[in-house]
Amino acid sequence: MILLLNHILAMKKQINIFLHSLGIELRKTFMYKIEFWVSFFATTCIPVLVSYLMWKSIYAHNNVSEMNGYTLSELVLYYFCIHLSWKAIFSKGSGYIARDIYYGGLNKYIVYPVSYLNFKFGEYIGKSVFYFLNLILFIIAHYMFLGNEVTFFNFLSSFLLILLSTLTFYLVSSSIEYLSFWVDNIWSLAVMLRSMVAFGGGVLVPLSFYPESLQNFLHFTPFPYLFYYPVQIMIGKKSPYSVLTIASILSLWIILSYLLNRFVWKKGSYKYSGVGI
Amino acid sequence: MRYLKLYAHFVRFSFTKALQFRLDFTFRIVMDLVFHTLNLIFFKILFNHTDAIGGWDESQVTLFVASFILFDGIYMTIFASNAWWFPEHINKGELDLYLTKPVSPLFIFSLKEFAANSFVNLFFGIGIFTWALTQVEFSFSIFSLLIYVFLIINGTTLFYLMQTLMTLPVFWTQSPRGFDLVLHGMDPILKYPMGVQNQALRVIFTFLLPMNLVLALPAKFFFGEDVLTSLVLTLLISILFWSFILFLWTRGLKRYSSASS
Amino acid sequence: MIKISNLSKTFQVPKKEPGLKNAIKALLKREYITKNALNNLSLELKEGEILGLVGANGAGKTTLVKILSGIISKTSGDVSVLGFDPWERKNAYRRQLSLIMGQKAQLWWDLPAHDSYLLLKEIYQIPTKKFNDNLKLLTEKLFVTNQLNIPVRKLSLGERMKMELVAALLHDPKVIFLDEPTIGLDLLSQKAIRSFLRVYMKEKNPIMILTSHYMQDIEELCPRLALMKAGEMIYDGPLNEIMNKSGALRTLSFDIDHQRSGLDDFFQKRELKMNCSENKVSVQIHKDQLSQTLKSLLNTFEISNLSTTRIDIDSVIESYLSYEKAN
Repeated sequence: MILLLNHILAMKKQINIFLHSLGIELRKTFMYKIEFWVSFFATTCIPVLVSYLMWKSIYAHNNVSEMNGYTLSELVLYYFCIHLSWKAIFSKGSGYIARDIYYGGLNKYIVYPVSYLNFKFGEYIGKSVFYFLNLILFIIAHYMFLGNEVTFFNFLSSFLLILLSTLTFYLVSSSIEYLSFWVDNIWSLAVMLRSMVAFGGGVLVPLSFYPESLQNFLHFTPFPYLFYYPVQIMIGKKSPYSVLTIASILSLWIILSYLLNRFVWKKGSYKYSGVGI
Repeated sequence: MRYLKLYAHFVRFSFTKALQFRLDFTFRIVMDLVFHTLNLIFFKILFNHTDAIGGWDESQVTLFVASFILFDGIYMTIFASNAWWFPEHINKGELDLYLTKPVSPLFIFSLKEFAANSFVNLFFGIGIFTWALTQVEFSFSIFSLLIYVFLIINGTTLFYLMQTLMTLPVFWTQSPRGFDLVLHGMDPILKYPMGVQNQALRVIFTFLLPMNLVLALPAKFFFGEDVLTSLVLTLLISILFWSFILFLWTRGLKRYSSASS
Repeated sequence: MIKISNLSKTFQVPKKEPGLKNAIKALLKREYITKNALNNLSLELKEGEILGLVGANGAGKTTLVKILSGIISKTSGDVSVLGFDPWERKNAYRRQLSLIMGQKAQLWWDLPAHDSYLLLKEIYQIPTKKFNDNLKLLTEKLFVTNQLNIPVRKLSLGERMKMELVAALLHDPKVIFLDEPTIGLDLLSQKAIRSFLRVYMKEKNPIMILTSHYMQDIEELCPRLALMKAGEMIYDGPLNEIMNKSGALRTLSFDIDHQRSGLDDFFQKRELKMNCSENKVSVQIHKDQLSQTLKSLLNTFEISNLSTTRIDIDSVIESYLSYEKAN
């Protein structure tokens, strides 16, 4: 009984720390709000706009109003959802741990009686929250002006899936960040991962446009499960997998990436303290 | 002349450094290969569904993408790291040291960090570009090819200037990075054929933020569409944009000097 | 030669008030507070002279140095260094100038110092012969010849600072500004750098301004001292003079267990201020007054652990600064 109580208390402490660092990150984002909104406009609205215009020219050139089951307005919805969930999953991008390691900021956290992984996860989610907010606002606006292509149930279930993906991706990207224990510059790896996820997750174009063989291959990678299928569910397209299947595939990836993460961290921090400061 | 010699030093430094971090070297090469291959595949996929995008056929778009790869190689090698450090140098007072040196600080800031790591990718870019040239279905003169390459190089410096425009607000706002991610988020403007843009975008990205001058207008010139207009427009706006950035830089320095203690 | 007369520098900082409401207000209309960094400052320095510049953080030392090296502009007054106005940032001036900031490195972090020196040779257009001679001389005197080809990031802090010094002196500057050159260094490195600077000054005769928090730097290197406070120069003169003025003081300290009440009166009558914590008492007292006071103190009170010490330069300056505050 006491053991259980202790356990709950320890967990509560971890959650508090998580919430605290989440709050700090949110406040930081709010502080530079102009920068934030400008970059939101430039990095989300403009790419979506350009993708839309490109399809418009292709549709006009081929004189069709629908391709692969997508009308132009459906494509806009698709691009918005996919861009925002992609960004939410990516959150802090690259370098957020590498910098701590390179400039010695990590020392501070090693002294703190908290889990570094947990602390950084708070910051990570803090950044994601903004994109989630954007996504929700966009969906509401879309619902109000253009009717119910997105049902509440679909939205909620795919939203939960994307949350799971964020956790998965955090575990993977932080494992890569830990490589800075050995290598000075890992941002190129992060950029590579980023372009692979974008390609495999249909950020540039819906995966159904890909050749059959490429689609089949991608099924065996984690990429489409992160946000492509969830977004398919969200916008009411047929997805080959149900919510539960995607959730269990993601959970499997979470377990695998967690093990990987802990392994790299253990090796890395051992090396870090071995070399000295 | 003296500045050339200085630059030779920067290049040498960079190679010395790169040799110390060999793993980073390999990472970068692999990264660029993946990045550009995916980009080429993307357009290949699109052309499964159409035979023209924005008025360009597949061979033209391929050459256009190859030009982007060439551009990226030059930009990453010469400017990218400098652009990254630019706001940091201003914020952390690195500028102080360079202001006391008998050399233009803008020169040092813009060219100091030559990226030997990306140098290999520059060759990769040249290779793809040459290959794409053999694929096009129209004939072109060596002379126009030379002008085209010159325009791409000009476009690269323009892109750097735009990047500088995004970070110069740091002088006034003291924000950590300015708007430095904005341009990278907008890279579809660079990468997609200009023909897809509507009138409004075309005006904005030609005259206000000259993204179209980096690759699109040069390509138009090379493809023989509005040859003279494209050429003149590119050169004229480049000069104007140059002066504009230099003006802002001087203002920024003045602000830096009077607003700090 | 440096000539400064009536130099002032003001700058504006946005007024920041806490709270969301004020943040929004600030977005629309920002209010500024004008701050005085330097106030009506005058100073003259000749070739071969070395000035120790002392003051608390924010007193304006760095601002002064930055104006003299052309980094920031002045608001009013006249500044001339070697006949140049630093603000014009003429190359002819910058070639004769050197600025060393203890907290900012100019050497390339990942490269051996020697590579950075070659770059500086190009920047300052130092003739090859002069460059080689200077490099040899400087590295030998600082005992870092063997570290020239090791990447800077692998050097110790002291070695790094010495390398920075070499970098700053390669082009034979006529004017040298040293901002905290010994900050964070161990005693041995501090000592080495001080004795190097002393010899260097004698040989090359440049003008030098040194700011430091370590009084020992000032005491050993600077015959002339300038004290700054809140943007004003409150003392400019020989170090000896200020030492004599306040240096005639002795600190008298002792323990007392009983009769504390009478003690206040005792010192007040003699116009002395005493510091008292628990049973430990200390008083600053002029040396001529010392024996007289001591005698009656011993007669009246039961005290132990009596000692007198000469006041050190730190406390001299501290007492000078606080004395100025009182008036």
